[in-house]
Amino acid sequence: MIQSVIGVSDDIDLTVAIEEVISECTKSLGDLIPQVGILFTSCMKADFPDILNRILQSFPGVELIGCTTDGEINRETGFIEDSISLLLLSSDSVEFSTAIARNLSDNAEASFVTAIADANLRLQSTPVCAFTFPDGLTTINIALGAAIQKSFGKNFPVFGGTAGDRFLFTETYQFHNDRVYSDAAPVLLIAGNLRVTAAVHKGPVPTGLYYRLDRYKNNVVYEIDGKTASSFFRDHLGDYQEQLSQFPLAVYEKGATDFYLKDPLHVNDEDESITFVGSFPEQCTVRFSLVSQKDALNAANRANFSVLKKETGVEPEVIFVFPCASLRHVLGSKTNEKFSLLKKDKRNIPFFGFYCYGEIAPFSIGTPTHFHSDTYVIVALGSVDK
Amino acid sequence: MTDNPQMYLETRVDALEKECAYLQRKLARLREQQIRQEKINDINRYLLKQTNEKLLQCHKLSQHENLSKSDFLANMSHEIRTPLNIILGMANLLSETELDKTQMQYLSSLRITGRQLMEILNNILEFSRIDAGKITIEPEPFSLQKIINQIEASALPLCLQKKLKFIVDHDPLLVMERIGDPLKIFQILLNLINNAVKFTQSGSITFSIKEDYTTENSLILVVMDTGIGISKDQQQIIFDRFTQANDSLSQQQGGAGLGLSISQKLTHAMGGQLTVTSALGKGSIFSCHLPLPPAAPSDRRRLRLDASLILPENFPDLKILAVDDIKENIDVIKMYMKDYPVQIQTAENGRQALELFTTDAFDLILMDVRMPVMDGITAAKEIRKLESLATATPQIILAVTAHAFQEQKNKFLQAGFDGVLTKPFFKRELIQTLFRFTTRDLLVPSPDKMGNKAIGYCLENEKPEKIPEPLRTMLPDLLQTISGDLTLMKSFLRDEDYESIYATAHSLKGVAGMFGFQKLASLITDLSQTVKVGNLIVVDELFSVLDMYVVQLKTEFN
Repeated sequence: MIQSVIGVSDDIDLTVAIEEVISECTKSLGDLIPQVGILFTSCMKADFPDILNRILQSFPGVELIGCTTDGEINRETGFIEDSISLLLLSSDSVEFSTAIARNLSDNAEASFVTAIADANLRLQSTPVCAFTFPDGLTTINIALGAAIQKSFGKNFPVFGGTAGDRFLFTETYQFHNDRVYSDAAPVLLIAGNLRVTAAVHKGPVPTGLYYRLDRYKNNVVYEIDGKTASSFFRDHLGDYQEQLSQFPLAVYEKGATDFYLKDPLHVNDEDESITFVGSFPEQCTVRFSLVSQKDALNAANRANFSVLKKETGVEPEVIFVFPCASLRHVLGSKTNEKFSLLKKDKRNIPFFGFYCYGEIAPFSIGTPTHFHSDTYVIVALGSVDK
Repeated sequence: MTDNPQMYLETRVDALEKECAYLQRKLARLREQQIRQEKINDINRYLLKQTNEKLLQCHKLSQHENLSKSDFLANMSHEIRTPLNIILGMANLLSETELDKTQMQYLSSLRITGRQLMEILNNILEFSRIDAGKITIEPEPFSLQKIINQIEASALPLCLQKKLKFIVDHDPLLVMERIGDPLKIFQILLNLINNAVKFTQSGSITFSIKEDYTTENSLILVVMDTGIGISKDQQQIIFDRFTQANDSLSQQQGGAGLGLSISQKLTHAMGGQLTVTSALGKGSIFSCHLPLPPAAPSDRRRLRLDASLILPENFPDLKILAVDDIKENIDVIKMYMKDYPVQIQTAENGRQALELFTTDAFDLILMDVRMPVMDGITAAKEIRKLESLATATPQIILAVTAHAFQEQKNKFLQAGFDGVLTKPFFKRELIQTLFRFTTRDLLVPSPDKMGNKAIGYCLENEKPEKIPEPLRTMLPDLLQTISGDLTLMKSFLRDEDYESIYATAHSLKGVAGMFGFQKLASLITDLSQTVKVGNLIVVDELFSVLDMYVVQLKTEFN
């Protein structure tokens, strides 16, 4: 059985906040000894080493991972920002092991391979799934999905999201035990008799005509439909450069009818190109997408429903959610409605997660893991021999 | 705390300050969110507006391109029709030469597929006209009986070929005189019946007319067959253009899949509905619901009369003036009217007609439009001018013309004609027209437009012995005239005197039409059009075909 406790505080005084979190977790743990801890925070000015040390001191032997975010999610408060949120997991039937992949922008695949090997050293059995929270800014121009597939194995299920920085787009941080990193990815491998269910749903809806990308390289687009990328966006969206990232392009690979979304990140003034999160495939066409609260909520509800209704015979014991940060801004005050199905569920399954800059998940278990934008990812874990 | 109020207050202030900072942070986040939200809404609106504008532009562009393609299709069909006419004409001539069995089989296939191709081209042209919004519905009192007769005449040969029974069924008490556009109704029904024949291998085709009791003044025209039937899925698409239900059978039968689409569009244009019910393997029922109110009682009498030939004993004594520069045209009028109490005076052109008008009195003038010295339109205008000076009773003047389009008819009516008799006309049309116009004060309040296009009868298909004696005696002279005109046209062509070619072609076409030489008339029309577009190779071919054709007629009728 996987047992979990969650501690959350958004106290303005971060020293108080961390003590509240620890106290809450300690109270809930009782006699349980946590094996792994996951920390998410959007307090970008916090003293991260201090927070990590306090947690490690309070829960000796725990392996700790985490990252900065664009807002945290948990069962008690739903969406919360400026908080310190800690999830502690323990199990008698499931094994946890963590590691850190560093210098992703140099060679993400090799970094992951090293980290996985490191984490595997402490596992008795073969891992069933993994979680990772890579840097959300230094990885925008690398093929993160491909690196994950190659390092973890093509159809090995990896979940998570890329770290945020409360929508400031300056620097994100990743945590592993007492160390704070950037351009890194903490990795959590989980082994044992585990049932994993997951769902991925897209929020924005494509609209209007299809356009050809005239000139682009990896994740930087220079020309679309005979115009510079910047003027193309300006023509269609108006003068709202700051909000570009909220209006992803729907990308259609050659001959495909299904699409995925790519978020514009920023305009490069010198050549009017636009940098996107993630690189584009060859010979693709793109469409603009409309973002609406209704569509964002629909996506979340469909994903939540599909995970909650799974008739696998195994009850989910803990749920992770990784929605895209841009969808949070679309939903505004309705953000918490995303989790209403999870909250209403009478089984009171704990859920925990964060708003990320990009989401990581396979479309279904047994298929390759992809790096997504503007999606809502939900993962439920349940141990088989509980 | 009460022991140390100072400390209590400081603690309280600290707590409040912290709470304040917390709330300020919350407020700042809310503001940030609110601004983002507003901008997102703005962008959504802007994006939607842009998208709609783009889609509208694309829609307009695609409509324009669709129209261009339709035009292209129509033009191409028209261009293809001209040489196809020649091919069919030559095939017809060839069929009347001595051929062995294999050659006859080959020729038969050639003629059948040629006719199919012609039908497709005609349908494409018609569809393009409908698509471009060029059709106008011209409701007028008409006789359903007449349409039934025409439908029977068209459907029976087709049904006989396939050994199918053709049944016409309607309530004997049904009012057959209605108001609607008879040409369009005929076109719809002919398409439905052709379709039924095409997809029925055995059994029957039933054409029935019944009252639509659910809608006032409406009728349901039903074409029912015992054919292969149409599946539910295919019923959804058969009215789409270029769509046919059963691909394999359609391929055997040919056609462009436009017939039903044309019928549906025409039905809609008339405010009706065309529906289908069908069972696979059992047959199909096409029901055309049309608003067709009964005609006024006076029109009903006239229309009933229309549908039958008026006997000489019921015909009024008349004195008419027939004006035409082509002697043979006048001969035909005389021949048609020989048993009727009608005295016919003649004139060769408008000027002669004007002179006779001032010295004599006529019940009616039949005036050819295109004549030398003074054309019919000028003559009619002059007559009206004279009438207005003398305040005389208006003279009934009918234009006799090969121009069948409504716009041209309207032009003649504006010029002062009372009606239009369209060439080629036959005895029945001539008698009815004369009767109608000379007795209109008795029977019909004021017919505002007239004109019939002859359907069905074709002299060139008649055996010589069946042609009435007076007409037969005229034929050798007529054929000589045609021969002479063709020779004349060739010399005009050599001299590049195109105007004279058009004028001679026009006269010749009129004569050919009057005597029921429809093929000849059609070939001359093609010749005239081909000269206009400057395709001299085809012009030579056409002259050869015409020469052969005339030789053949001469042999036959001499």
